[in-house]
Amino acid sequence: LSAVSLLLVTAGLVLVLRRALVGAPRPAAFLGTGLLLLGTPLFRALTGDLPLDFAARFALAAVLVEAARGRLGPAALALGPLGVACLVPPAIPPGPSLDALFSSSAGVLHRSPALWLGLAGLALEARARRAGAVPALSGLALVLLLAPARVEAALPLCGSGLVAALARLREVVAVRPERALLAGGATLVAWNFLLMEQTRRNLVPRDDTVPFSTLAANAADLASRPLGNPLSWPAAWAFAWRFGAPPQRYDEVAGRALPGGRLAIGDPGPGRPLAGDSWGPRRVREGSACREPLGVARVLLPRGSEAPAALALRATGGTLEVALNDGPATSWTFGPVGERRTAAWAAWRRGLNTLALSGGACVVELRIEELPGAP
Amino acid sequence: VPPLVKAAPLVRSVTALLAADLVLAVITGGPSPLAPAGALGAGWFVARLAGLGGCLWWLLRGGRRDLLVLSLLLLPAVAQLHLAGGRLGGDGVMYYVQARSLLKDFDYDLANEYAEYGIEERGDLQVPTVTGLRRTIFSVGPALAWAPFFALGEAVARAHAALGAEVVLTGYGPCHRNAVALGSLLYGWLAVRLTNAVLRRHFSPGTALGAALLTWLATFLPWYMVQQPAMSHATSTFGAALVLWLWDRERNDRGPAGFGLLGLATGLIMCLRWQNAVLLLLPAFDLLRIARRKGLLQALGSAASLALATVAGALPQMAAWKALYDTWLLPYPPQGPDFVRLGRPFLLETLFSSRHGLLFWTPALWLAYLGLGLLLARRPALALPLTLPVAAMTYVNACAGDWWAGGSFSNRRFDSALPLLAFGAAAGLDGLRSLLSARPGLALGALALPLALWNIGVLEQERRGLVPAGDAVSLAERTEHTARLLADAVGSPPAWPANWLFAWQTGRPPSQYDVLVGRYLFYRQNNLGGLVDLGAAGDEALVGEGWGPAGTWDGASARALTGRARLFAPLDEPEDLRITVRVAGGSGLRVSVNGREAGTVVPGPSWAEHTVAAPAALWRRNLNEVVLEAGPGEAAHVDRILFERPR
Repeated sequence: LSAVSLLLVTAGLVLVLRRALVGAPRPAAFLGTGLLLLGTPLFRALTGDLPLDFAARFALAAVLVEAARGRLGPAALALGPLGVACLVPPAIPPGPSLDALFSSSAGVLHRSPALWLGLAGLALEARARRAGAVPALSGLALVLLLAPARVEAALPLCGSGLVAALARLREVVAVRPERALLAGGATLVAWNFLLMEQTRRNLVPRDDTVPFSTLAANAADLASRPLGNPLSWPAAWAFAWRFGAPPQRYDEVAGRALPGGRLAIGDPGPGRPLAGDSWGPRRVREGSACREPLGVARVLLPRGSEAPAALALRATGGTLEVALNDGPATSWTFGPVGERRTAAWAAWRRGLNTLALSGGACVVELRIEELPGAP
Repeated sequence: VPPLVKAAPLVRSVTALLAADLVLAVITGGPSPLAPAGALGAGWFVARLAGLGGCLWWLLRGGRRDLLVLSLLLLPAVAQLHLAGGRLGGDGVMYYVQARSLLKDFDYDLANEYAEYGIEERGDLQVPTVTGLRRTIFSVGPALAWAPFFALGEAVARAHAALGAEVVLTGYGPCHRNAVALGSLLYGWLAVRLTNAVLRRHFSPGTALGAALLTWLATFLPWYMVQQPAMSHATSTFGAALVLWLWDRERNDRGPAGFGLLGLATGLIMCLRWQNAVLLLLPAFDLLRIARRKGLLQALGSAASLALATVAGALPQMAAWKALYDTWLLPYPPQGPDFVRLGRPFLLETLFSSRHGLLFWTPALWLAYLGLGLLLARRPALALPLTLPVAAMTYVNACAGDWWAGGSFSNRRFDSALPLLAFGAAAGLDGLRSLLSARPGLALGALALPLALWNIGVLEQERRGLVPAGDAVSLAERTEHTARLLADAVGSPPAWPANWLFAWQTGRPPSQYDVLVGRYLFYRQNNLGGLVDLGAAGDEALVGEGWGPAGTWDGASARALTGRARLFAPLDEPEDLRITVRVAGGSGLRVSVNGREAGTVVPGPSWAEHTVAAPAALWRRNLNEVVLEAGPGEAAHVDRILFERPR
């Protein structure tokens, strides 16, 4: 099956390359097509784990795009890829979602930023009033907005955009090479300042060896602290505005599941990004690890539906005020480690919910209790 | 008279007022004449800097763009120094005590300064020298270079105290420290200005500015201007830039007086950092040319002028040595005769190790080194005199005992090479511009490569199970995994090509170069103390193939081995060692060093230590391979391996 997938992907790429060679310089055409293979999920064809239906949709879309540029016309170019995404096999688009585009877990633009370049290339073509550019841009945008999980149906269009963007860049560099040098110099300066900052913060040893991966990770962390991860823009900003959290946290929570609806606060483990930072030091009370809120601790709880559900909370030694999504607060008093449970709350949202906790109790664990028969 | 021209004096006055106010705010640490009620807060400080920037832009906008750009870029550096900068970090205190002693006590007795900083009992400082003073291994030049700023700090502190403020007037207080830090910042900036000025004589203004900015902002210079300003590096870079500027000014028409001036300047900067003596190679080239063109006699006259003036310039350092050690010249550095081993260079390590390798930490200097090569090919008359000091300085730094320059940001000892390397950067920029004009497709690759790498990294991490597929991952974690995959596959880019050579020689992944090369069992500071603690965090730096994963066995963190397992033992010199292995399991464990058997230990079922002797003949310099081999079909667990020098 992987050989068939590879064959289908190769056929689709050949079509993209053939079209690119018609109007673009050869370096841009080859590099753009290469980037389509290496810079998008098509790369999985090379590692042998590309699903057959994915490859089939890509190849079919490539054929359709080629036909649309010929006889079928602009409407087919704009709507055809979305049709391929929805029909093979049949699927109903879930509707626009920022997470599907920008989250670290599933966002296609986050995971394959080459798609941005493809979009930019088609936008440049449209601005230059090239034939077929507006329908192609619409076709790519429609798939990204309505069926991002099947982005492969739009990859042939993305390939055209990549080639166009690289061709344009080539023209700019040929005339003004100093712009490329400026970009390179700015990158070196930024890297140097990020190294200085991690040294200043003692994130790396002052007098020892350090792996390159640590330097790169620290640099990425520092660079994304003020404004979030550029690959997650603008969803990270929307997240920060909506939840009052740092934009950098978006990458860690968007798309994160809550196994069993349970979030340990004392030992949050991988759930730490959901628990947030406004918690005191870990304590052990009656054999249970717990933490006290520092001021108001805002926990993010992901849910797959809006159906009413109860919230159970294990805590000890003090009172606790709990409010869901800025609704009215519920107050509880805990003695020894014990559990309190709300009635079924109706204020849940699909996606992330904010649970504000304040008071002196030491919280062990939160748990969402779905009602019987809930989806 | 146009209104804008009429406004110029007013803007100049406001500029001077704002600049003076900001300088005072930096020195006092907050209070300034324009903020008499209290300290100037961060917001107001930045606002005033912005105002000053606006004035500078207004005054300089019609003139030279490079001056405007460099002046405006100084302002954020001032803000960084004031709001987040360091003061006496690292060896800075050892330079600062000299400034304080000379300029406040008017002597060179450092005992009270050492006592103030609690280091008078330190082993290397407590024994008096032959003259009864406390020793220092640091140069005296920075203290002299800071003298005007120290005096300014003294004046500001006294004025502040006269106005009723509680100010430390001992010379240890913030006013003096801040003034010295400001001095280093300005020396560093002047170095960039001078470098830019020299480059403009040989390159287009844009290229000159670009190269000057790269050698400033993309190297370690900002660190030593802002975070560790009490060290000698900013002043030394300034000194080198000054010598370069003087040398280049009269390069083709220098008489004995010119050589005298150049010698005096070079002698003075030898007081800043002694290895700056290699900059004498610059006038040496001129002397050779004079000897060839005008005769030996004229060259000898100029050489005498150069030599005498150099000695005169170096007199402060010689006087300092005379005061401390009762000798005008030291036969070797005060750190000891083995501090610089000219027959023992660590060239690849000095350039590519993650322990402050120059090109590993400052990849911008790749452009400078390659550019010097380009310049040699195109303009050898200019390039040769510049390349030889750079090569000499690189070699000398590679021969330093601690080639990693101790606690350093990048490799700070290349400070005085920066103005020379700026020529390489300028030639490199010119070369790249020509290359991109002819082959613009190369830029496409530079854009496409990171996009492809990111995508491949994401997919490979999920395919290999490094992160759960479809789970949320922070940018830092994603980047770390991607960088590790890249390093495992082709090595860390900043360590190319040394890590490829390492991989070829050792048969290990090139990524291990980053964590292994720069560590030693016994050599100098921060060594391993002879201990390889298997199973502990970070042990992967030293282990080769054949080891099982780290785990806990019978209460000890350890690694399992079945068959043959290799580890690395980095040494400075071959020497007799005892190898003690804490091991459990197996009936016999053969230990060999660099392919020659050292002995066999016989482990029991529980943890116990077993020792074999490994004479110096088995060892070699740098990386040694130690192989532990269990009997056929047997498994053993090794907790740690201790290498000891016989008592």
